[in-house]
Parts: sequence; structure tokens; C-alpha cells
Amino acid sequence: MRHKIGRWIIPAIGGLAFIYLLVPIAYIFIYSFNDAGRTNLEWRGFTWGNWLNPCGAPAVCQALGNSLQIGVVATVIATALGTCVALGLVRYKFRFRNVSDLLIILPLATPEVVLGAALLAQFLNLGWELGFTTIVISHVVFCMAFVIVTVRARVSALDPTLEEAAADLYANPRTTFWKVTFPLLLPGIIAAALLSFAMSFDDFIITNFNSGNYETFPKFIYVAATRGIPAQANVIGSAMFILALLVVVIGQVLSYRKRRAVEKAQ
Amino acid sequence: MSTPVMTKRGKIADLRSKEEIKAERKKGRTGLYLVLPGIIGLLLFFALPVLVLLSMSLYTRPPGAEIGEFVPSFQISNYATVLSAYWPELLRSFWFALIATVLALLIGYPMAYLVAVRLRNHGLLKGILLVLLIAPFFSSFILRTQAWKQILADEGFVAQSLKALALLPPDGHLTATPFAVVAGLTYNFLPFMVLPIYANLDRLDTRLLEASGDLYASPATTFRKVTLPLSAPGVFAGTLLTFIPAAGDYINAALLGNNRNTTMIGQVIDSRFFRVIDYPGAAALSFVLMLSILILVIIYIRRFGTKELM
Amino acid sequence: MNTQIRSRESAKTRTNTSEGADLHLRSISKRFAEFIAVDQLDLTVPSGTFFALLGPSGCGKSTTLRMIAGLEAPSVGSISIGGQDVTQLPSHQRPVNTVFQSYALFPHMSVLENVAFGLKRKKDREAMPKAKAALELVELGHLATRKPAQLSGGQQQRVALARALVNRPQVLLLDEPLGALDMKLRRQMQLELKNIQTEVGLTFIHVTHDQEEAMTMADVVAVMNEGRIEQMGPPRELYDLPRTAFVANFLGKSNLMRGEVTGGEAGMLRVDVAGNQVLLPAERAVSAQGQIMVGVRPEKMHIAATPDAVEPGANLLSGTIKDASFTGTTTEYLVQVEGIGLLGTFSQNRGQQPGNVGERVYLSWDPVHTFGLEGSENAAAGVEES
Repeated sequence: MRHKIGRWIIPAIGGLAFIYLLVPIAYIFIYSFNDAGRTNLEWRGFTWGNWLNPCGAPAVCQALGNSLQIGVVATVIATALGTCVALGLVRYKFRFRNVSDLLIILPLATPEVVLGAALLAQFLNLGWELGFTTIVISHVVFCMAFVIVTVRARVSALDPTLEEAAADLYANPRTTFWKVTFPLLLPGIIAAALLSFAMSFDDFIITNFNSGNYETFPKFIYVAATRGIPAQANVIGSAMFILALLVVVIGQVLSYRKRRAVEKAQ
Repeated sequence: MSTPVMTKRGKIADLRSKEEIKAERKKGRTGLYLVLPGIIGLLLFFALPVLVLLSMSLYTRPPGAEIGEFVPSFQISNYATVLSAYWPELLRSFWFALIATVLALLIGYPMAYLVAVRLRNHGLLKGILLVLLIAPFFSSFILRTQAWKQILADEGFVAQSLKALALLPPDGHLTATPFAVVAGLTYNFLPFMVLPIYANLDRLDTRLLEASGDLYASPATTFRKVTLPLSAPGVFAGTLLTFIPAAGDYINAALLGNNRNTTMIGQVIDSRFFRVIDYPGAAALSFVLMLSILILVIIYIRRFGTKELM
Repeated sequence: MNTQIRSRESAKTRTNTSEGADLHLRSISKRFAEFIAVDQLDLTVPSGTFFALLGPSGCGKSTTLRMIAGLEAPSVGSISIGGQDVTQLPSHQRPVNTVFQSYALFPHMSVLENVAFGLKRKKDREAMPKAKAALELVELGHLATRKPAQLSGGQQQRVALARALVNRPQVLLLDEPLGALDMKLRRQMQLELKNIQTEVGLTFIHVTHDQEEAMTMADVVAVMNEGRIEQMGPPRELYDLPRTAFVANFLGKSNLMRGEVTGGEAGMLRVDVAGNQVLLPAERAVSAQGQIMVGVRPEKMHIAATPDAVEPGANLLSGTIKDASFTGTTTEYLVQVEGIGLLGTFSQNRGQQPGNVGERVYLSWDPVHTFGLEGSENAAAGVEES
């Protein structure tokens, strides 16, 4: 009898935890249909209006557009730089490797407040104007760390004999990289890029320190939180969740089908 | 480089051919070129800023200067000033972060276990839960925190039910309390705890659990003696990835707290930077925060062994 | 198999009309830090040979293969293929292809694209048709669009083979390619590989630790141990006349006994082995005086209950049966001979057995089957650890 209870504890807690995880999401989703004014605090009535007109509230779409732009630029830079670093660290031995290792993991270990403050101090010191560029730079700094960690795991797991086989089959190092190494790393690089984009888009603290008057989506919501977040923001938040859901689901379905094809053939 | 060395069979042989040495050097250089742009970027926009922050923490405001005007100096007393004023907030931040980490562990471990071990053979359900675990991460966390604020609001369903059940005094509230702040921290950093543990448990060989049972261990003992130790690296990574950002967070405290007994150090730093315009003080606080976290982390790593986070 | 391909590699070579090429390794050594993997190897493999590098794990055979392929650089020495020095050439410029132990098929490409890979790198306009033909050759044409992960181990192995062969390399290297296959498939592939090699006339270098495989397939076998070639030659020669204890024990089984040369006449040496007289032809001995280790293969010995039926002039030893193992076709005997030790032999199960455990038996053999090794040799060198 005791065993039976024991068996159910884990699924019970786990299940409840998952529900707990999704409660705010559900709330956001439901209230995106609220026929509310500027403050979305009380339920007034169901409406499709917000979804049909997501840019209805002023400044929401502007902030969204800014965040998307920053996200794309920061992601591209962070992914490119980070992939190079990951490749260099795993594949090559050079003198400053251990120092580089340390330098790379430190941004991950630094609280966002400190990172934001440090970057602000630096920008102030350089006399740079706070805006798009400073935000992008700040985002690249912490996104790159995530990219490096993700891609590095993938590079380490890459079978070195595959590249040897390519060389054995007359591919010079450059061809080997683009025809064999890169395609095999691509899933990891894409995952790192998606992660990087998500982190950049949702970042508040570091952005807040280094953006001056430049509006981003998280900043907009934070400021609006005191006054009242417009329902359109809920729409965008829900849309992001659904989009992320779709991306992950598609990824799962693809890998599931690949596995089935392998199993069937053997 | 080519020092003669005695081989096993007593013959003199060169260490490496010239070609080998050249090839190795070339390889090393390629690695350096690959890594250099990123590293230079990190040096310029991470290492250097930290140093600037450090130096800024020592600036003084000359008497009679305008607000925001500082002079490079070496006033170490800034640290004393700022620490004596804000050590409660600093300690509170660590305390909140610690509780949040422990709670996240207690909630997150079963989640990870459920998906990685129990549902290993149920592809579809496992996939669904995994998706549900990761997806919230991609929606705005400020929105989610704000949602909690409204869910836990006095007029809301949760507060009302608790009052009806007499678990909450009639004039009590859930928001603007330390409880809400810690709950928010736990919630927001839960994925950071769950994912490393999940990644670790996903590789757990369930046959080990079977073997343990075969050797007369009860499920509880199996968990204690087999599963838990094997998942230690994941737990280790998860706790670090949760505690560090939680200690510096201030969104949860700002949205879900009050300004009496929930202020966290992040809020203080933010206000000293942007409201009081006390750059040296803010910089000093940031540095204190970073150092204390570093020290705590080092102690933690020393105590529980060196595991690679990567 | 009838097309004569003119390769357009950057390494311009004047190949002979035969498809394969000579391979020369001169004083090749390879060391990793303190460990010497390959120690002053000198090797010539004539074109068109099926050559086997045989040895236990760690003996340096794979390292040697990798040096020929260009995946490792020798610490010292030079390698030439078809008369051209390739030591400085990187792997992708050598007219050599490898079939890897783990097959190393590119997981993100289809089987056909895998096979066509090398041809495409050389800008061969007929890469795809040739790849298709190569796949047909290994009977996998119908799987051309599959990904490697969707193939069984045996099929993957054949794809790896096709991928290497289609490039008509001057030298084809095989790194224990049959290791992961089950017995039946292995036998099949051994025959197929041999056939292909004979037909096309390529130079094959086959690395393996399976002595049966090496002896079945190869024209020439080189037994490697601890970075050096102990002995090299046609399989039969190696088997009939091993020159070191390692070769004697690694290839098949041997009974080795230490003794002292007491004299010799008419081309035969007389050796005193623990009081027994053993004869052997002087040319089959490594040295003709002093301490010597005589050996004889178990299957050359005849075991009998009495010395009556022993041929005149045969070597004769007597002992007691310590163990008799019935294996179906034969019974294997371990006989304890005084002063010498345990000798192994077997007799085919064709009726009456010579004796039971504990009984005295007589071992005899034709002296011409005896071989003589260095007296200071370790009698246990090369014995297979179970």
C-alpha cells in the first residue's frame, strides 16, 4: 500500500507543478479577450477586438517592433560570434584557452543587475548615447554566452571520424566544414539562435539600464504595469506563447518522425 | 622542441617531425582567429565594463557639484557607506533567492523526474509536457509576473477563497508581501531549475533502478541511493542557474512586493543609478553583489565538487 | 568494374595500367608523447596485392593505416604511393580511400550522396551515375535515397565500401571494417571483398585483429606487435614457419618448448628438450646453436596410446592426459609432458580415442613440421587472452 502511494506522489506533484506553471499563461490568454479599456484589470466582456487589432493601443506595436529588430540583430551577431568561439574552443588548442573559458562563463554567472550596471558605466565612460546600439551590444554580451554553451555541446558530440572521412574523400578543410561539419551543427546553432532571440526579446533589466529612451516591449509592459497593461499586450504575449508552442511542437514532430523512419527501416 | 629522447627500445628518437610542429602551430592559430572576435567583444564589453564599474565605485562627488557630477577618485569609504545603509537588502536578496531556489528544487525535481523517467516510454505525453515546460519561457516574463499580481490580487479568486477558508485574515493580502515576491521568484526561475535536471535525468539508465530493486531496495531507498546521486550534476547546475539570477532580480520585488520589507538589492541599485543618480554608490553595491555571489558560488562549488556547467 | 577512370586529383601521378599502385613505407615512426605507436616500419606493398596488417589492439596497425591515409603525420619517415612521395600531402590530396571501422557515413546525406561525395569533390561530371552503379555493385541500389541511420549494420558497411571503391583509389585502406558484423555476414563480406579486389586489381590494405580473417583474404600478411612488424609473408608461409614466438602464438596455436642444440647432421638439428630428443631441419631454425625454442603446431601432432605405430624418425614425447574436451568434430587434448609442460593437440573423432584423462599417451610428429625460434623468447608472447 505504501508503495502505491509512493508511486503516485511524483506524478501528482509533477502534474500540479505543470498546472501551476501554466496558470499565468492561461490568465494572460483569457484576458487578451477582455473588452477592457486601458486597464485590463477587471473582466468586462469577451471580444475578438484585441486580436483583430493588436496595434490598437498606442506604442504597443512600436515597442514590439523595436524589440523584434533588436532581437534579430543581436541574435545574428551573437550566434555568429558564439559559434566561432565554440568551434575554436573545442577544436583547437591555443595558449589562452583556459582564460577564454573563464571569460566566457562569467557573463552567465553575473547577475543581470551587475551586468547592466557595468555596461552602463562603460557606455557613460565612453560618452555613448544610450539607444539601439547600446542595447544590441548588451544583448550580444549575454546571448553569446548561451550560444557558446549550446553550440559547444554540439561540437563536442560531433564524431571526428566524419570529418576524417570527408578529407579521405578529397574534401579540403573548407569544403569539409561547409559540407559536413556545418550541416551537422546546424540544428544546434538554430536552437542556440532561438534561445538567444527569446532571451533578447524578453530581457528587461539589462535593457532598462542601457536603453535610455528607446522603447522595448518588456520596458513598455513594466511601465504600463503601474497604470494598466492594455489588452493588446496580452494578445502579443499569448501570440508569442502560441508561436513558441508551435515551434517546439514542430521540432518534436519532426524528430519523432525521423525516429520512426529509422525504426521502421531496421 | 626536438629534444632527443630514449625510446622503449633504447634508441634515440626526435619528439616530433618539423611538419608536425608546423601543423600544430597552424591549427592553434586557426583556433585563435576563430575565438578572437568573440573574446575581444567580451573583453571590451564585459571585462572592461566590470573594471569601469569598479573604478566608478570609488568616485566622489566634490562638494558643491551638481547632481550626477563625479570626480575620479579613490574613495573606498563608498563601500562602507553603501554597505552600512543597505546590508539588510543585500541579505534579504540572498535569503529570498535561497528560499526560491529550494522551492524551485522541490517543485522542479518531480517535474523533471516525471517527464524524464516516468514518461520515458510515453513519447506523446512526454513531448506534450516538455513543450508545456519550455513554451512559457518564451512569453514575456513581466506579463506573467503581472498576471500573478492580478491573480493574487485582493479581489481575485485566490485571495477570496483563502479568506473564505479562514486561511487568510479578512484584511490580509497576498500581493505586496514577501510571500508573493518569493513565489514570483520561484515561478520565474523554475525552468532554469527544471531543464538541467531534466537533461541529466533523461540520460539516466532506468535499468539501474531495476537493478536496485532487484537488490532489495525500496523505491524510496532507490531514489536516495541511486537516482539522487546520479542526478547531482543536474541539480547542481540547476541550483546555480536559479540562485544567481534570483539574487539580483528586482522585477518580482517591484511588481509583487512593497517598499517596506521586500526591497531587494537589485531595486536599490536601480534606484541609486536612475533616481538618486549616485553612480559610485550604485556601482559599489553592484560590485558587492557580484563579489558576494562569486564567493558563495565558489564555496558551493568547493563543497559539492567541481562540475562543469557546460 | 570495366571502366578505366582517369582521376583529376591535384596530385598528378603517372599510374601504371594496373589499377592499384605500389606502396612504400620507409622508416616510419610515430610517437604520441612518451608512447611509441609505430617503431621504424619499413614496408613495401606491390600494386594489386591484398595486404593484411594483423595484430592485437594497440600494436600500431591502425596508426599505420591512418598515416597512409594522411590522417596522422609520421614523426619520422616517408610514404610513397605509385612512386610519388605523399608524406607531405594532406589527406584530401592523396589517391587513397579508407573504409572506416565505424563506417563514418555522413548522417545528413542520403546513401547515394554519400557514395558520390568523393567523385563530386573531384568535379567528376558523372558522379551520380557512377555512384548509382557502385551501389548496384554492392546490391544496395534500391536504398539509394535512404539515410544511413535507416540502414542495418551490414548495409552501412557495404555503403562505406562502395563510397571508397567508387573513387578507384590507388590504395584502398580498410580499418577493421567487418568488426561489427555477425559471423555469417562477416564470412560473406570476406569473400565479396576478396572478389572485388581480385577483379579490379586495386591494392588493398586490410587492418584486422582476426587472424582467420587475415589468412583467408590476404595475399600477404604482416603481423604487428608493439609498433613493429614481427614477420611478413604469405599466410601459409607465416603459419608454417613462424619466426617469433609472438607470430607462432598469435597465428593459430603453437606448442613451444625450450631446449639446447646438441648437434646436427644431414641438414637436421638435434635438440635436447628436457631429456627428449627433438629433430628439426636446420633451415627452419632461427639459430643453429645454443638455447633454442622448438615449436610444433597442435594439428601436426599425432596422439596414440602406445608408441608402436609411431613412424620411424618421428619426434616422440610422452605424457599424461590432463584434459580432454569434446568439440564435436574433434577432441582437444592437453597433455602434461614431464619437464616440458602442457602440450596441446587434438584428434578427429573417428572412432576409438587414444586415452582418457590421467592415462599415458604418446605424441609424435614429422620433424619437418618443427620450427625453431630464439631460445630467449617468451613462450607466452602473443597468446590470446580470453
